[in-house]
Amino acid sequence: MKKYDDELIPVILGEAEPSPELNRWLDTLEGRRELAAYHKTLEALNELYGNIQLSGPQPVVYYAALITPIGRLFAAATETGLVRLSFTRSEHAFVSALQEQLRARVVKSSEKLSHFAGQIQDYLLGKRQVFDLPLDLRLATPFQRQVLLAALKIPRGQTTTYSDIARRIGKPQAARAVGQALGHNPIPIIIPCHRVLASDGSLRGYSGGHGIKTKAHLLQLEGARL
Amino acid sequence: MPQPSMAFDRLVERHHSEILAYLARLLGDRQDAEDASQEAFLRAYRALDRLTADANARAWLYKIATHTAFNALKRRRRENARTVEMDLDALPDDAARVLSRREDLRAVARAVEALPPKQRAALMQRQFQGLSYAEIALALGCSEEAARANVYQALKHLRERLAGREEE
Repeated sequence: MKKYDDELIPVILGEAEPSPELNRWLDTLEGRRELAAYHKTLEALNELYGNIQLSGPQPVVYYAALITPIGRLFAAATETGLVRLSFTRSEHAFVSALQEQLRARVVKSSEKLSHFAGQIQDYLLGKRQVFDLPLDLRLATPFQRQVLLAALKIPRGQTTTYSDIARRIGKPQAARAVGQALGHNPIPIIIPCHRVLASDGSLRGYSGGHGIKTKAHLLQLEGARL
Repeated sequence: MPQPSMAFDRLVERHHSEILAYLARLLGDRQDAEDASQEAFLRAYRALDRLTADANARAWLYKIATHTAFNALKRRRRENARTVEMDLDALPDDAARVLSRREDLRAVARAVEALPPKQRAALMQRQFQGLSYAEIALALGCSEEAARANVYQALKHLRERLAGREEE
C-alpha cells in the first residue's frame, strides 16, 4: 500500500496528474481510504496553521440565515468579506464548523449580512446579473484558492470543464485535484463552481442543496445552454 | 542606487508579516515567533550588503528566518525539551464529532512538532507561504529535488501519525 504514496502526494497537492495505474488504485477501497486520509491530514494542517493569529483579540464572524428561492442558506462574513455560504440544514453545524475553522466568535446578525444577503437573494430571484461583493478565501488552501479564483472568472451563462480550469491555472494535469477543490468551495453560487462541468458536458456533481438539481437550476437561471 | 536603509525598510514593509506568520508556523508559539522575527530582521540588516541586486530577496529572508528558527528550536530542546502544544482547548466542544476532530487535530499538531525541522520548514513554506520549490531550495540551501522530497516526507509522516490514531 505504501508504494503509491510517492505518486499520490503530488497528485493531492495538484502538482501532477495520476497515472492510469494510480487512477485504478484510487478506485479501490484501499485507494479511496488512502486518498481520504491524506485529505483529512491536509484539512487538519490547514485548520491548525492556515490562519495564524498574530495579534489582537479573538476575531468576530457574523452570520445570518437567508430565505431564497432555492431554500434556506446560511451566510457568514468577516471584516474582509463573505467567507462562507452554505446549504446546510443545521444552523448548529454551520456555527460550530465556523468556530472551529476560523477560531472566531460567531455572532448572528442579519444587519451585518444585509448587503450580502440582498445581492444573493436578488440574484436567485433573477433580479441581479452579477455579484459585486468582497470575498474572504481564508477557508481554502493555497491550491484551492487558485482554482476558486479561476472559477470566479467564468462569465454568467457560460460553462467550462474541470480540465479547462486545470489548464488556466497552469496545471494541465491536475483536473482531478481541481474537481476536488471545487467540491470544497466555501462560497458556492458567488464563486460559480456550478459553471464547471465534466469534459463530456455532463453535470457531474454538486454538493449543495439538492445536488445536481440545484446545479441545473442555477445554470438555467443564468441562461446557460445545457 | 537607493540607500541601504531604505532598501531594508522596503524589505521589512513588504515581508515582515509573512515572515512572522512563517515563524509562528515553524515555532508553534507567537511570542517565540516575534522574538525570532526581530532577530532574523536584525541579521538581515547586518547582512544586507551581501544581498546582490539580482538575488531573490524573499527567498533570502526565508533562509535567514529559517536559520534563526532552527537555532531557537535547538535552544528550546537544550533548555528543557519543552514542546509547544497548540491551544486546542480554546475550541468549543459540544459534540462527540467535535471531540474526535479535536483529537485528530491534536494528533496532527503533535506529529508536526515531531517532524525534523527541515521537513517542517519545507512543508510550511510550500503549503502556507506560497514559495516555489526553487525558492524553498534557496531558503533551505538544498537542491530543488531535496526541497520537494522534504515536503512529501513531511506529509507522509503526518498522514501515518493520523492513521496511527485511527487504529488505536
